[in-house]
Amino acid sequence: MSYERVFKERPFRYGDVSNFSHYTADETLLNSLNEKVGIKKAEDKVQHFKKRLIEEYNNNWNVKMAIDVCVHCGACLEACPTYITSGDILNSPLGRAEMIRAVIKGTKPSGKIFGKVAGAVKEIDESYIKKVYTYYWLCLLCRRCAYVCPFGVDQTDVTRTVRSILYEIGMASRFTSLTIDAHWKSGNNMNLNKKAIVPIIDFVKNEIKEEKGVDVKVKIDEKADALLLPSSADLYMNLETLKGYLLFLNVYGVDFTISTEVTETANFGLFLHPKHMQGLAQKYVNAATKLGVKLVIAGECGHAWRVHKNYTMPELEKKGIKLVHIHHLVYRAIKEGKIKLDPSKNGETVYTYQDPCQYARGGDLTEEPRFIMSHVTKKWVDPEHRKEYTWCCGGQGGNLADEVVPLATQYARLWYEEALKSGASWVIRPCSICKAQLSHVVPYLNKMYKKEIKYSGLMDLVYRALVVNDG
Amino acid sequence: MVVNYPGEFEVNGKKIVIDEDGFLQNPEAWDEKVAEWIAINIEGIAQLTERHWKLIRYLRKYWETYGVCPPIKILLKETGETLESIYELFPDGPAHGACKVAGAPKPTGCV
Repeated sequence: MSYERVFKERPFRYGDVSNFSHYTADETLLNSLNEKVGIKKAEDKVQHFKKRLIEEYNNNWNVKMAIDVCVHCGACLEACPTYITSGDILNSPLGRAEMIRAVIKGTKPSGKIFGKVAGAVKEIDESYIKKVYTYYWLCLLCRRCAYVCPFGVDQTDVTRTVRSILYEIGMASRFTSLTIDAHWKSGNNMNLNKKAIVPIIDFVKNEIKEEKGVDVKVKIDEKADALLLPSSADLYMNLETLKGYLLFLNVYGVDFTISTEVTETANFGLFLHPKHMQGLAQKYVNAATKLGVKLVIAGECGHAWRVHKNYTMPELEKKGIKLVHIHHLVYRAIKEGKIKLDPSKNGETVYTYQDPCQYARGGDLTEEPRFIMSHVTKKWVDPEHRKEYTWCCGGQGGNLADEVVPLATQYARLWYEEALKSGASWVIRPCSICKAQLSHVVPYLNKMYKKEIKYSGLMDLVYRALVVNDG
Repeated sequence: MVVNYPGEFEVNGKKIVIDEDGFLQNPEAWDEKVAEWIAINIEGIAQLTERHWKLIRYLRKYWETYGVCPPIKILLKETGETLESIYELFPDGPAHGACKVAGAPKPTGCV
């Protein structure tokens, strides 16, 4: 039993989580990834690591800030879910920054003379880099630290930079690498090809017909006004979310298509290397252009929204194509009075809305989902820590990897306890990473706390609440 | 738990490669003997019953046809099992347990 084995072989120990190093990608996988973006693996690991770090320090303003302006006030420690739940100082924004700061300092005159006293390491070796690898991949990239830092340091920018340098020397998390490789090869994270996609869509259409009494129209690889980007997990784990997209878009009258070249909205490149992120984002731009759409609609996925908003959207706009989130459209449809919703269809359950990190911290998507919640449920509660202070699901930034599940279960205790505190029994987290993480950890947490928390996406609730004229 | 993985093993004269997560890396080597071997040595399932086999055969056929494991809802509908009953049969669940015994590679992405 793999999960049982992970819990046994990698027990959680408060104060020291160095046993949760992510598995690394092997040579074949790395070569396959490197080919896609034209990167050649650096020969001398230590030299390349140092050289690139100094390069980034000199050229990347965020890295320079993180190194130079931190006064060790500790505000980030109180905000960081990885530190709060693990109690391991290296597993914190400050701890991670210090490991890198010491290397940079080692190249400066004070560091060269005073060494350790000045917080510098003069020489680093592969075991030092291995330690950096361990703790940098255990960061959730949730950005909660960036919102509390009085100097505005976003340590997650350093995390992404350091991970990209580690990748260049052949050290990359296996799970994230496998996922990116699948995305490059098949157009989605899960290796779904057209032969697999069509029967799943047919299955879902049949369910909608049975449950709502309507035939929904779903174009596949045909020209249309809009391109829908579901998460590939919506075709596997989250069929109720998918049903929400399809029924809503039909009722709202959107002429849309799904592309089997990009049956995805995710972009794990964000977690590994900017070249992968940009390359994968380009796939979305290419598909939208090829299908001649005017609008691209992103499905429920937090980190994807961040990449779309900051990279895909400006690229699409150059071609006159707009990009919105599905929640924007539902919000608009409600405001325009174009759809009818019956909240009683979601029962008497008390729901709680917990923001996916990347919608709330920089994603500017916090009001629309709340507005929708009020229209599709009879009762829902906002958690104490909401919007930019939301707690991460605990599986972000590549931490859905099976080998870290015992630690990710600890990370998850923050939002889980908050759900219990708010008196809700159903958590809405409209993000595929959140949903997958919850599928891993909720069974354990429910046992641990002797509770029965349920969870789903938001479009799942929209699906149930939607009143269809002839159904 | 009998074996340590990743590693290469011989099952009934066939070489199989098991990855870090316990999944078969050379799925073409799969046969029912391999399934039994994975169930016992990796999933800790002592005896495969007819209900196990019904799920395994369904998953295997789906995977050979479509190149992926079926969405969980389709699996439940087609086999008449519930998610709970699958967890009883395969303690690691459909994706991480049943699909593993059926010889499909480890699913990637948000699963």
